[in-house]
Amino acid sequence: MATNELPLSPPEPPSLEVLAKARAAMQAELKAPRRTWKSLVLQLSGTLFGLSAVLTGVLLAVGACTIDMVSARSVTLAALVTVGLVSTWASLRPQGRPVRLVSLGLLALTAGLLVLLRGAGAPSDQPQWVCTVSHLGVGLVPAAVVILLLRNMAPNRLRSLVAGFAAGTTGAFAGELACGQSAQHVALFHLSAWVVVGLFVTFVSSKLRPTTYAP
Amino acid sequence: MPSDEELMEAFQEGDSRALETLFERHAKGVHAFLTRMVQDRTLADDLLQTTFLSVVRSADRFQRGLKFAPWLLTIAGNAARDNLRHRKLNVEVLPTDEEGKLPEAVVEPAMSDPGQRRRIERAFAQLPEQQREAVILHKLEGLSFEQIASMLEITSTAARIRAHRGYERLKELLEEPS
Repeated sequence: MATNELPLSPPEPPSLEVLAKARAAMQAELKAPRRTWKSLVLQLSGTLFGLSAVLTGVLLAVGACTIDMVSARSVTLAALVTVGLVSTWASLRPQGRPVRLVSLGLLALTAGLLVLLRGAGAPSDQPQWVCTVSHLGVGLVPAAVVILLLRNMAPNRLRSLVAGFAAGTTGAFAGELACGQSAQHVALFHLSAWVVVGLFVTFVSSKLRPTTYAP
Repeated sequence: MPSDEELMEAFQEGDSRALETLFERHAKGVHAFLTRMVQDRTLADDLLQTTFLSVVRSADRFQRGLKFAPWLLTIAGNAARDNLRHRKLNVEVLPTDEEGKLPEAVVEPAMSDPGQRRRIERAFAQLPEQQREAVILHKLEGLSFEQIASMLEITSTAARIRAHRGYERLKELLEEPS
C-alpha cells in the first residue's frame, strides 16, 4: 500500500501493548449486537411513513382536513412520501455522494412542487407562523431519530443535510394536509421550517461523536 | 493467500479469524497513517483502536467491488479528522512552546541528512489538515486522485488541488529560513 515517495521516515510502529489493546477491544466488540445500514433505513422509513399515516388519521379524525383535501393534494403528498423514502436511503447507505446530490435535487423539486401546485389558496384566521411552528413540532421526532441513526456512520455534512431534509418531509406532509393558504405562504412559512429542520439535524450531528467512522 | 477483500467477505459471513488476519496485515500501516495525520502518537494509538472497532461495527458497510485498504484508510482518516476537530487540535495552528517554537515532529527524522529530514518532517507537520491528508494518501499511500476523491467524497479535481496546494505549501515552508 505505501510508496513513501516523500523523503519521510516511517513513524515508530505501535507498541505491542497498543496492538494487544486494540485486538482485545475488537474481540469484545464482536460479541455486541450489530445493526446493518439496511435496518437503519427501515427504521427511519418506518418512522417517516408511520408518522405521516398517524398525522393523516389524526387530522381526518379532528376534522382539520377532509378526504377531499387529501385527494386534491395526492400528488404533493405522494411526492413527499417518495422523496422522504429516497432521501432516507440516500443518506444512510454506504458511500453514495452522487445519489445524495440527486436526492438533494429531488428534495428541491418537491419543495418547488409544493409551491407551484398550491395556487391562490384561501385566507386563514390563524397567524401564518402557526404553520412554521407546527412544521417544526412535527419534525422533532423524526429529527431526533435521524440524529441517533447518523451516529452509526462517519460524520458527513451532505449526508446529514439530506437526512435532515428527509426528517422534514413529515412536517411538510402535515402542512399539505392541514393548511389551505397561498403559494407565497407555503414558500415563506412551510419551506423555511423544512430548511430549519435540515440545518438543525446537520448542526447537531456535527457535534456528536459517532459510534463508527465507516463511510 | 486470500486477498483483503476475500478476508473481509469472510468476516462479513462471521469468520472472526479473517478479521484477525486483516488486523495483522494493516494495523501498523494504519497506525503510521494516523500518526502522520494527527501528529500525536498517543492519539494515533487510540485512533487505531477506533478504526478497527469501526470495521467490526460497520462490516456491512463494506460493499462488494470496494478495495479494502482504501476503505480502511477512509475510516482512519474520518476518525482522525473528527477527533482533531473535537479536540480543537487541528494542526493548521500548531501549539507552540513559551518561546513560540513549533513542537518536534513526531515522525522520526532519519538516514542520510538528519537536519534536512527534520526540516521536512516539521514542514509536513505544519501543513493544513486537508492538504496533509491528500499528500499522505497520494505520495505515501500511493493512491490515485480518483481513489482519494472517492474516499473523501470530493471530486478528483478537488483532491488534486488539495495535494498540489500541499506540495506548494511544503515547498514554501522549506524555503523559509529556519
